[in-house]
Formats: sequence, C-alpha cells, structure tokens
Amino acid sequence: MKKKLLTISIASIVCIILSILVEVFVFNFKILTLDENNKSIPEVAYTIETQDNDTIIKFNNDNKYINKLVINYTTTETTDYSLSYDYTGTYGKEASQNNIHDKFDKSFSTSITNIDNSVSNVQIQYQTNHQLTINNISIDNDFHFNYFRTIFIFLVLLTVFFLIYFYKDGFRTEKLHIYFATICTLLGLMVIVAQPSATFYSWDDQIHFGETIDWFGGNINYNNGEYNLSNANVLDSAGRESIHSAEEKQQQIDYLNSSINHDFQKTNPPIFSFNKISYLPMAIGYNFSKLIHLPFIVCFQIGKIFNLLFYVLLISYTIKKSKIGKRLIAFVALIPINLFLASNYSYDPAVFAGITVFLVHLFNLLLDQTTKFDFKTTLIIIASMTYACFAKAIYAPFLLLTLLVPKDRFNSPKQSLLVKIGLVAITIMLSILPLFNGSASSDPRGGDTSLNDQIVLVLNHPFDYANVFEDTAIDRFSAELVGADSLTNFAYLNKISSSSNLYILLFIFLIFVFLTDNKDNNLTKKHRIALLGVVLIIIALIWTALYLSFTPVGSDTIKGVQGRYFLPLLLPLLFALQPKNIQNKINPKYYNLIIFTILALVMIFMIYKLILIPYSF
Amino acid sequence: MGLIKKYYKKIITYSFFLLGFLSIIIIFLLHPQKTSVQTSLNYDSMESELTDISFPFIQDIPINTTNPDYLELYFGDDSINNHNYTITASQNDQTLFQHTYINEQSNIIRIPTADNNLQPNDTVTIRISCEDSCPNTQFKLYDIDQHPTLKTAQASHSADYRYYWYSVFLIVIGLTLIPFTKENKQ
Repeated sequence: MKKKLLTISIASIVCIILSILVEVFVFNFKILTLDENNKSIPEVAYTIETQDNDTIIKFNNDNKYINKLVINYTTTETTDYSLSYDYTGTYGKEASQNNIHDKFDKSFSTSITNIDNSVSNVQIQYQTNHQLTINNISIDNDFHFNYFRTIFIFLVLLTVFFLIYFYKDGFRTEKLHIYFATICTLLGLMVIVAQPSATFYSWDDQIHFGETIDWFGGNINYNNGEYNLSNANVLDSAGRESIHSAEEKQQQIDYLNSSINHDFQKTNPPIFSFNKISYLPMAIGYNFSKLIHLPFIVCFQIGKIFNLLFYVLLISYTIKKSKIGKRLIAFVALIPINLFLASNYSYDPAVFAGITVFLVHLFNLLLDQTTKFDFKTTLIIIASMTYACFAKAIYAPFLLLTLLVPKDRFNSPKQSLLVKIGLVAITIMLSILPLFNGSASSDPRGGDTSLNDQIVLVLNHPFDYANVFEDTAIDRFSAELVGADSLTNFAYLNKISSSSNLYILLFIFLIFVFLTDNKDNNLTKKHRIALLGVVLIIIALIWTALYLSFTPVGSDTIKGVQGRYFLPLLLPLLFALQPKNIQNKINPKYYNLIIFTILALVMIFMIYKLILIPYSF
Repeated sequence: MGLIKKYYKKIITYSFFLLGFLSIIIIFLLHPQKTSVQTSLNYDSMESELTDISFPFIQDIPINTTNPDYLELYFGDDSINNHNYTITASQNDQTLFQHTYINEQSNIIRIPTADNNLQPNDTVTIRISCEDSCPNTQFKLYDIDQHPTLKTAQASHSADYRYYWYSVFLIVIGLTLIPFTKENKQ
C-alpha cells in the first residue's frame, strides 16, 4: 500500500513538472521563438469609418503575427461585434478571410480574442445606439502562463499514467470499479477546469444552481440584486457568449468573485423538499466550501465536483455489485454526455445513477439464485428509484420489473406477495407525486402551450396523435437514443456531429462492448420482453409528456425532446438485446485497457476541441 | 450495539412510519407558510390566459391576504436577445421595490413585502418598463401570487394537500418493509 502511494505521489509530481514544461515549451513555442518584427504592439494605429449605422475600425497588420488581439473599451450596454481579417492559407496559398463574432460585454472592459496567425486587413465592425468607446487596440504576442491549460495537461498526463499503472496491475475485472472511479473523476475534473465558470453552459444549469442554493435557504447578494432561484439568470449576464479566451475567462472569474457578496444573508428559511433530493450532493459541496469562506467561484466549482464525486461513487458501487456487464455499465457511464452532465449542475446524473443502481440489483436478483430479496436490497431498490424518480418521475415504471423476481428469492411466498404489493404502490406514488407538487404543468418555453387543451385534443383525436407520434418519435428513435446529439453533446458549449471520427469511434466501441461483455447475461426471454416493454412504455411516455406540456396545442411535431432523456434507457435496452452466444476470448487485461483508453481518448479530445480551445486558450 | 444490530430492521421500518406521521402533523401546523394566494387578476395560471403586455405596463394588484411576505410575478420573454426590465412596486406613490432584471425565457420576480404590513383592500401598483427595444418582444405575464405570513394567514389546509402525499409515501415505504421485520421473530 505504501509502495503504491509512493508511486502515485512520485508520478503526480512528475506529471506536474511535465505539464508545466509542455505549457511553456510546446504551447508557447511559437511565442518564445518570435522574431523582433512580430513582437507585441501596445497601441495599434487604426482608422474609424461610419457606414449607415455601422462603425468600422480598420488597420493593416502587414501579414505579421497576432497571438491575441486586445480591445479596451467602455460601454453602457453589451454590444455584438464582428472581427474579420485576411490570413495566408496552408502552403502559402492566397489570403482567406476569417470572421469571428464576439461581444463588448458591459461587465468587462477588455475583449481578448485568440488569432494565432499572420494577418492583414483587420476589421472590427459594430452597431450601437448607446455609449461605446474604443479606448485602445493592442497586439499581445507576449508569453503568458495559462494555468487552465496547465491543469488540463496535468490531468491528461495523470490519466495516461493511471492507464499504464492499471495495465501493469493487470487491469483486473474485480477491480474495475476502482479503475472506473479514477478515470471518471479525472475526466470530469477536466470538464470542470476547461469550462467557463458561470451558468447557462449546460441544460438549465442556472435553474439547477438556483435549486442547489435554495436547499439551505440561501440568497446571494449580487451587486444591487440577489441571486437565487427566483432570479437565477443574473449569473448568465456576466460574460455569457463573450468568453473566447483564457484571459476573458479569468475576467469572468474576477468579476463574479468581486460582484458577489459571498457572506450572503439568509433571507429564506431552509426549504426541504423530497423532489429536490438530487441536488443534495451539490448543495453540500457548495455550502461546505462557503462555510470555510472560500471565494464564490471556488464554491461554485466545488458544488460541481461534489456532483461528479457522488456520480462516481454510485456508479463504482454499481460496477462492484453487478454480476453482469461491468464493462458495459462503465462504458455507458463514461459516455461524454453522461460525464459532462455529472460535471455540471444537473440532476440527470442522479437519474442515470439511481436507475443503474436499481437495475443492477434487479439483475442480480433475477440471475443469481444466492442473492436474496432481503431488507437491505429492498431499501437500496426503493432509495435508488426514489432518488432517480423524484428528479424525473417518468422512469418510475422500471420499479414494476421487481414483479419478475421469483418467489424463492424471498423468505416466504407471503413475504413475496406483500413486498411486491408495496413496490407497486411505491411505483404508483412515484409516478403521481409530481402531479401534486405542481411540476406537471405546461411549459411556456415551448410556445403557445396548454396542458389541458392538449390532453383534450389527444383524447378526442387519438388516431391523429398516433400519426404525430409515428412521424416524430419513431422516425427519431435511433437518433435520440444513440445519435451524436445524445452521446457526444456538450449542451450550449458545443457538440460533435455524427460524421465525426470521435463519434464513430465511440459508437463502434459501444457496439463492440455490447456484443462482447455478455458473460453470465442469462436473462430469459420473459425478462428481456418485460425489460423491452418497460423501456418502450417509458419512451412513449417521454414523447407524450413533452407533446402535452412543451408543444403548442395541435402541433404536427413533438417539441422539446432531447437525447439526454433517453440515457437512463440505454443500459436496460442493451442488456435486453445483448446476444448470449458470442464468446469473448480477449484477455481481460487488454480488453479493459482498450475500453478505458478509447473512452478516455474520445473524452479528452472532445474536451480539448469543444471546451478548452474555444474558452480556455 | 448488539441491540441495534438485532432490531435495526424494526428501527428503520418504524422510523418511516414515525417520519410519515410526524410530517403530517408538522405540515398541518406549518402549512400556511407554504400557502400562496392568487390575486384576482385575469391571468389564471401558467397554462392559460397568457398576456402579452405593452410597455410601460401598469397594473393595480388588490391585496387579498394579511401581511403577505412577498408577491411573486411569473413572467417570460420569448425573444432571443436580453432586455432590461425595470419592475417597480408601489403603494400610495411610495416605492416598495424597484429592480432591473434581464430576461431569459421564463422567470419569477419576488417582491418582498413583509415589512409593509399590507392588508386586504390595500392596493399595490406594479409597473414594468423596458428601455431597450422591448416593444418588439413577447413579454408575457402569467400570474401574480401573494404569499401570506405564518402568523396571520387564514389556514385552508385543503389547498395544500400535495404535501401530505410525501408523508403517505413514507408510510407506504414503511408498509413495504414490514414483512422483513417479522423475520426477527423467526
């Protein structure tokens, strides 16, 4: 144990040193080797023209190198601007033009854009009907130590080290939960480090952060207003859509740290609500770090880290307990969208992890005759499904699968009957509780919606609704379940398309693990049909729920359905369809190494391409 | 320790019952804090009567509860661009609350009124103004709620029945676990 700790400690120190060297000598190589002609220019001479309502600033850089273009400004309102310039293409081909859309954010006073090219004919164009003054334009070709990038490199190197370390350790299947926990934590931390430090980068994260603060009755004093659930959008205004470089990200952090009075007054009583239970890990992380007076952004990030760690804990426990498909569970849990959501303010990881814990216990009961439906198992099943379904009740029908458990797993037939009746009652309650806490209502974001009118319409025209369902739900079935929108989507930050190498690689390996990690999956036909039946019912419920609540009355399509809603259905579907007859003779050492390496590769490249370069370079 | 190990199933199972019944009592006693009273405006609910408003929007709100803690405005703006809305609440020309908000889809504004001792038959005037090209946007006001204080609200327990379902849920969990407690006797 001591030897292991020593090895990991030494490796961590080596990774720190290496990451600093990579940051200085690889990422800053161009800057360090620039000649005198391409040094920084503290004040660029430019001309200003006015055309119609547009203001156009122009200067010619004579095809010299610009690393970062810095514009100092003063503005009363956040203003869009476009930056265009000519640059020489590959092999010295004739000049091409590049256009970048950015903002003069009223929260800041400097806009810093990464160019990293030799450019000429630079043009900055904006429209304004309020006070906006450009104070200075400069070219920054100096060396800067980018600590976001350095931490990211450190985490990548540490991931590589652990993959080699686990390989040397034999990548044993019985230790898979430890390998998963390590790799998942490192990859999740990469997301947190690379991402801008505010809300509205993941789906509804401003609402989820508000709910997190609400847990202990907190309000945050924010300039003259307050940040709480009722006013959760305030944080978005600080730099939303205007972060395009590490310096701008740092400005955002400094701005939020200085604007938010962190010793906030408790103006609301603590609100305990069962349906907010999935926010508890984030609330504990956030409030614990606040108690020890850490700056706001640190607390904000620790809230995310706690969400990630709780996800890692639940999935690792699941992998450890599972008697089938350990690799398949690890694979699906490490799919980029799952990991991205677990590293943000979101309740989707709670739903996925809760349902996975339930399913693994169910499969153990169905397949292993020595596993008993005892007090502890019942408590875990109820707790995991409650945790998942209080966040999203639509998955409650999964609990009905406990009816498949044979009587001999119980102490007596009478006990079997009574417990199953109880579980059916819990399923009904989990399904209907949202109706009583007011969360079953129409969502005005969908447009002219009305829950009541839509229900009446569907009931009066069931065949027409069947047509709408067929045209939308069945048509988009595969895309929503395993398409790029579902698996490789980083919400408002960006996503990769289905034609991308990374997505294709991920999809091929998902199928590979689905076909090959089938040892001991002896689910009977009855089990598989029931599992498929419940999955299909939930899919129909998801589409119908969004047709009723999010789609304008009488619409021919169903609006608001997102791939992430189907993530908790992926594992049960794969287990139900998994073939029994394929024999996997690959050495587990190589098999496990390949799976974790592919997942880590896909995730690292996605974070690098979609988050680090656009927001932290 | 030995006793806990012997009786842990019963302790956990009966804790669910105890929690369920206790929470029914607590909810019954505290419930007015959770009650909200809708004003008699035409904006019935989130589902209907969406009201596009023009600026400045001025509306008198008749207070129908004693000393509400706060008024809540539910609103939304479907436009993509951010707009600044200044929301002012006043009583007899005296400003109770003023703040500027930036829209983003749906939103709720909470106007604190606990210190104003508002009474039934008082009127609060809500004024919503927008300076930056808001007439082109689709600002919608869905609803305005009044949240009474614990001390003075007239309890109407039937209005808050939804919280009781959580207590029932705890009791159902307890009932499901009961068959396992019999194992100790065997």
